[in-house]
Amino acid sequence: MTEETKQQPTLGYITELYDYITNHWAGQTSLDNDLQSQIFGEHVVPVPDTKNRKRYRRLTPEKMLSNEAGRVVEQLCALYPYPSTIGVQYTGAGRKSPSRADKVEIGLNEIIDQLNPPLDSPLERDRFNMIAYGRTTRFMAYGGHYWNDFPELTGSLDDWNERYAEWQRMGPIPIIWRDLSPMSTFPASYSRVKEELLTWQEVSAFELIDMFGRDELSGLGIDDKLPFGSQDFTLGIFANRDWLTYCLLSSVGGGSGGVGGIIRTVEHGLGTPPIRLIPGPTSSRKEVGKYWLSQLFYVKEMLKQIDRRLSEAATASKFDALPWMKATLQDASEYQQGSASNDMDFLEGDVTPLKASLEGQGAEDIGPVFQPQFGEKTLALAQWALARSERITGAVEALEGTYGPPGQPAWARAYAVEQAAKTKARLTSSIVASDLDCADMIIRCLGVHGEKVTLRPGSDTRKPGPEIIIDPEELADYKPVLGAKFKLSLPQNRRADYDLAISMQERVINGNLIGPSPDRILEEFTDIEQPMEEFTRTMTWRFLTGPQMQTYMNAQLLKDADAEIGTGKAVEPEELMRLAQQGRIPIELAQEFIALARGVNGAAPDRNRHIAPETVGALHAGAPLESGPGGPNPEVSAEGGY
Amino acid sequence: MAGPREDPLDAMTRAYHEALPRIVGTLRQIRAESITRPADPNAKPVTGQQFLDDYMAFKQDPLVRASRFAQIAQQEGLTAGQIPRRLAVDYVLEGERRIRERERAEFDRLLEEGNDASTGPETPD
Repeated sequence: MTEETKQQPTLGYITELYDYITNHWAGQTSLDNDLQSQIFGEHVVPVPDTKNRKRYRRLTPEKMLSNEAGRVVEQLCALYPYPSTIGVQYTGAGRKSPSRADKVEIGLNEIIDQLNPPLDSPLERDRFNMIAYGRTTRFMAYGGHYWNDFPELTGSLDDWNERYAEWQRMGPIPIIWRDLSPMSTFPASYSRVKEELLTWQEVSAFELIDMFGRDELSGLGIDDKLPFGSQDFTLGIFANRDWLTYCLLSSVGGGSGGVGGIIRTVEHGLGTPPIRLIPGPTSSRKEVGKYWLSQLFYVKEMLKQIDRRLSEAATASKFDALPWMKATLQDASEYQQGSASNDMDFLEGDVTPLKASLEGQGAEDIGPVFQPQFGEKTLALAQWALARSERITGAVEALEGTYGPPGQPAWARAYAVEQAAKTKARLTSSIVASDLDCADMIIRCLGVHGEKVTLRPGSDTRKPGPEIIIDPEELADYKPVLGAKFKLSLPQNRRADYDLAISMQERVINGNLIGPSPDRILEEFTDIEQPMEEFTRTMTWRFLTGPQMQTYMNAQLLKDADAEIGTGKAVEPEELMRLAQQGRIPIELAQEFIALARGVNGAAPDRNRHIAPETVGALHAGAPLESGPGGPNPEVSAEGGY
Repeated sequence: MAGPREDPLDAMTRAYHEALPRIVGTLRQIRAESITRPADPNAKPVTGQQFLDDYMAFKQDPLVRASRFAQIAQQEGLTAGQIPRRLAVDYVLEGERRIRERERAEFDRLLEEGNDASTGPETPD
């Protein structure tokens, strides 16, 4: 029973759709499961039967994984750590100033940023799904109905207005953004990807009550008397272009508890389903399991071979992990428990006794058992396949930032990295499309909200930034576009490019070549956009750090320093008094020094009458000597009190 | 991302003006400390506390002042009526600076201990 994609769904319709989807997409689900088990290293690896009871030598086979699938996914995820910068294009009537578009752009990017806090970013998981499963699935809806801190409509209207204003100042964003598992989110068909989708997940009674509250769940078979975890439910979320329906599914594969029923139906008003499925790179085979291309799609079977070869090699290596000796003895019985016993245990790393001859005449001997070295080919195959996987997935070593062989020129590595990144062009455009879809959904959600939204960048920090106010009416006339060229995050590119630019300049200048000119080199290979300004700066630095400038600066600095602290061995009384008036030296000391210089009554002091430290001691002891040079000084005695 | 880059000429002017007081301070300190140290180049430099003790003794005792004055004037080969700069300016400035520094440290300590610094340190009975 197909329906219009704008019709309010019934439980019967959703249940039927669920049955249909689980059967229809079974091929995709089994592919996803296969990929998932490889990424997380949970897949089955066939190993040689080295523990067969019929064998003389038995060893537990070894499972060894390359974890290549996980590496590829992580490596590629690391190329897209940031959201694309979203710009906007005015599509309404007339013209609007670019500054208004700038404001809208800033607001949109700020919302994306705030909905992706560093510790719980749905965007990161979106990227993972796109790379690992070939598509991203998410839920984006107007979330105004679900704010748990929204002020309740109690008390007077004035009072509520005040609380509402206070709440709005905190900058809530009325949008819910959740990543969904692509393995349980499907459209009704390929043609309804943007019209009708269903997602489901296993939940406990606790989670259900947490999401919807007991009132909404009444009559749906949730037994309050049972412990929370004892009942499992399948929560289905259905969305078409107009309706969003939460329900309990109790059909094929449904939960063990609950009778099935609709929990909540909302007319979402977005004009497009809030459950989003954004395809990654696709193939031309629009068949289940062949259309959405995971980045592991072409290597998934080969990766199993790699793990199988590695496990064989690891198992084989156990056979010669320890030295094994054989001893030829006249009477082997002395090495055995009971001479009558014919049982022989062959233990790894042990000595195996053999009988010399039937007559007991041969010489005794001991030596290693020759163990043929197999496994080189196995390993070579595994290595070849690993290298092949690098090339197919584009997750090459150069992207890991490894240094590569010594002596490799920087441009060669930059070129390798650039080529590797180019192979990801399709993935990159899918990721950009996914980010643009986010921006589009944000605009739609704010349109449903209908009120201005106040954003406070950094509101969780001590110093929030300035307020950004977004008006949904303004937003409606803008279409999100990619703000700037989306570049893969490759730091080694930048370093290599700078290195390349410098060596090119050297070659051009030293080789007296015609071109390319240094300004073109800088523009092409570095992020210097104003080469002539850079030239001025370079020349300034060269001048400032040149030897002449250094000599001049040193001399000037010393001269100024000398002037600052005063030159000459003697200080003039006027300078001393000036320092005292500035409060830098005590005035009584300044006066005393002047007096000391002038001597008593203006007479010059006798320089030959130097008082040695011992004499000072004698003076303190009350020795009958003059107590100051040049006789008593009224000012000093008044000050010092002696 | 790094902030806007400073013009190299501005950076140099700023560096110059930052370096000058540092050089002046160091020169002054060297000249001041030579008062408390014998001319022997192997003599150990005095510690900050030793310098301060020396200066406090100098500041409190006119006899020490007079003696130093005569001693330094003679060392510097000054004629009668001249005031030795090394003593009267460099040494005193450095001594006063160290006194201020110690007072500030004491003030900070009192603040940290939660005392009302405005009343000053308590005097023992």
